[in-house]
Amino acid sequence: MKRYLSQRLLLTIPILLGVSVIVFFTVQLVPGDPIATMVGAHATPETRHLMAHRYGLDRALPVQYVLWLGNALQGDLGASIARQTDVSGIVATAFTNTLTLTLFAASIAVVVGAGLAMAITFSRRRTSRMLSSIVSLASVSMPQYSLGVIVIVVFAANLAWFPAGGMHDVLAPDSYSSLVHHLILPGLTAAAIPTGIIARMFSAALAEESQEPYVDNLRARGLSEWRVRRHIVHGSLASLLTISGLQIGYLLGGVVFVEVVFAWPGIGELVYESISRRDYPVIQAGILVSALAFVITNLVVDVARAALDPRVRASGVTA
Amino acid sequence: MTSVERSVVQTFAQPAVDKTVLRVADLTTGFRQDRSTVDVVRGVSFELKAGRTLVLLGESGCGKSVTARSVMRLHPDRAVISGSIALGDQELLTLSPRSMVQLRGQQIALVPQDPAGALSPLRKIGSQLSEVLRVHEVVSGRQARAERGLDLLSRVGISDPRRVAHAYAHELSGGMRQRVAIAIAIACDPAVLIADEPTTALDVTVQAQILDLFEDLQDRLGMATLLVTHDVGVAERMADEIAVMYAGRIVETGPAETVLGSPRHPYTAALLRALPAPGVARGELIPISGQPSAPAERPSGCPFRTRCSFVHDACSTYEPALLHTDVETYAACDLVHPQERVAS
Repeated sequence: MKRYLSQRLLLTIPILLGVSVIVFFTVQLVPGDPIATMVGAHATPETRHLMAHRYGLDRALPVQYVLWLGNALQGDLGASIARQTDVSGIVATAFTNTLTLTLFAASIAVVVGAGLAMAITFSRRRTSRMLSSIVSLASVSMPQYSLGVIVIVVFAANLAWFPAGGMHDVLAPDSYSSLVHHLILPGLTAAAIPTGIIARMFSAALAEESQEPYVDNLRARGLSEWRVRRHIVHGSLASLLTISGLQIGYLLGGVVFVEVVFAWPGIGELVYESISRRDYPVIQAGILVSALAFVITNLVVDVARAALDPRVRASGVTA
Repeated sequence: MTSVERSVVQTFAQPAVDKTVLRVADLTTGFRQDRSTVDVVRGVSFELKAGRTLVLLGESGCGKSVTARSVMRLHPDRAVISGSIALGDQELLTLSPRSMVQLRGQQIALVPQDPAGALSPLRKIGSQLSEVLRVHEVVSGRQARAERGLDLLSRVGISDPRRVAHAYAHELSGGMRQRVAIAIAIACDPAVLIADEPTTALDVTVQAQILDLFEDLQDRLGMATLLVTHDVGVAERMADEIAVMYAGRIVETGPAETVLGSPRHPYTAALLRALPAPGVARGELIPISGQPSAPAERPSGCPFRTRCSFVHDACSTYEPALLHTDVETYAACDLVHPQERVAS
């Protein structure tokens, strides 16, 4: 296990470097001129030069990259061009909000998805198998932005059970119950697609594990069907982790739509807004943090898989 | 008497050899395909006696494994099974699924064909042994179960049971895994042991060791053993009695030496001629021509007639019944009992 862990951690370093290169240079491809955005199209060349120098934009790109990376490693992500504040602070707050939403949605998706998968695979009743299949198929079939709008119309506008957007009530800005109240609609909307994907993929994993010869042998040993199923679920947990990890990763990067629809002040909304303002440092930092979260999620998933399944430990780290 | 005492008494009680433990009569197992049912096992009957080994011998696809699994009622849902399987005075085919679950592993145990696939890859060996002991309430108490597990491992000839108990299946060699699978099978002192090609997946040298172990355990525990194999050598070595299967039926059966020494069915004779043995040059081996036909497209009359070198007109008209031969065996062939036609 220790060997697996150290191998897996070592593998993370080149991945992170690669991510940082891609993030930095991709952002340069965004059309538009950040200086023009700051000082206006009709500024004198001297002003433009001064601003470019101030933000380090007059240096060669590789130099800019090394400086940016060096600062980023020390937690300094530069200053926002549009907002005139420290990027780290903005991104940290936004990321925390995204994480809250993502983890809430992910818990729903994993619990409901795994439950549906077990119903699809193990239920004796045809109707409950069918029903679970239909629910899982329906939940992957609806795009988040249209589902979000429908949910707002029904549960916020008509029934007025939940607020339509934001994170907190203005009057009780830090109340925990107010946060949960605001979290439910965007959480459910974000959870829909991953729930369906987890249900379908995990039920496939369960069905596959059921075909393993050892499962049949467990029956020959005289284990009850209930115990046999516990073995099957145990054997499929590594797959559940992989599937869920991917879904959490996609959620982290993909809640943009949900955040925009529900005015959730997360990283997706931040990046979305910063792209229209050509705010390079914020875009870079936002994408970097999301990518980092994705890499860390995968790391955690792999380590957890190894802890759960001796077959994974034995086969070692595969990139 | 506590369960611990019971198992100890069982272990040391002198087994009653030759007492019939399991009686299978007219067993037929079919698989539903579309609207029809294809019978893979057709009217098979045999008896298993305490301390004795019956070998089911035949080519792959002859229905011998399905027979073995039917005895444990481990067939898939689409299978249709009829006949009678009596364990003592208990009829297994009418037993509730719940009672059948309890009976498996406790009174009838299975040694699998491929131990690599048959052991759970996720649980340590010790935990798998403990689980069986716990489910069947053989030993109570975690510590006692662990001790009993180590005891079982050393009983199947594992010299360092502690290491093996803490290992996963993939960390063990093939022979070691088969020993573990046997330890799990004998954990509850079963009356009947079913071994489905137990040495097929193993190296030749390890095969011999595992067969030795079977003999040793049978002597000590007095189990009735049903050994399924395609290997005439294994049959020769292990069998007290042999039942040769072809196309889902038993075509010849009787005491092992007689069946192998004076085969009366052309199929048995052909099997023996195809067997490599010391002193027989490779060129003298005669393979059986053709392939066994699939259950759905069996020829009329005797199913072996398409491959048989003694085929004659009567063979296509009826399927011979299993009848007494001039020696102590029974065979199903027109040559043995010409004209003794039984409507089939």
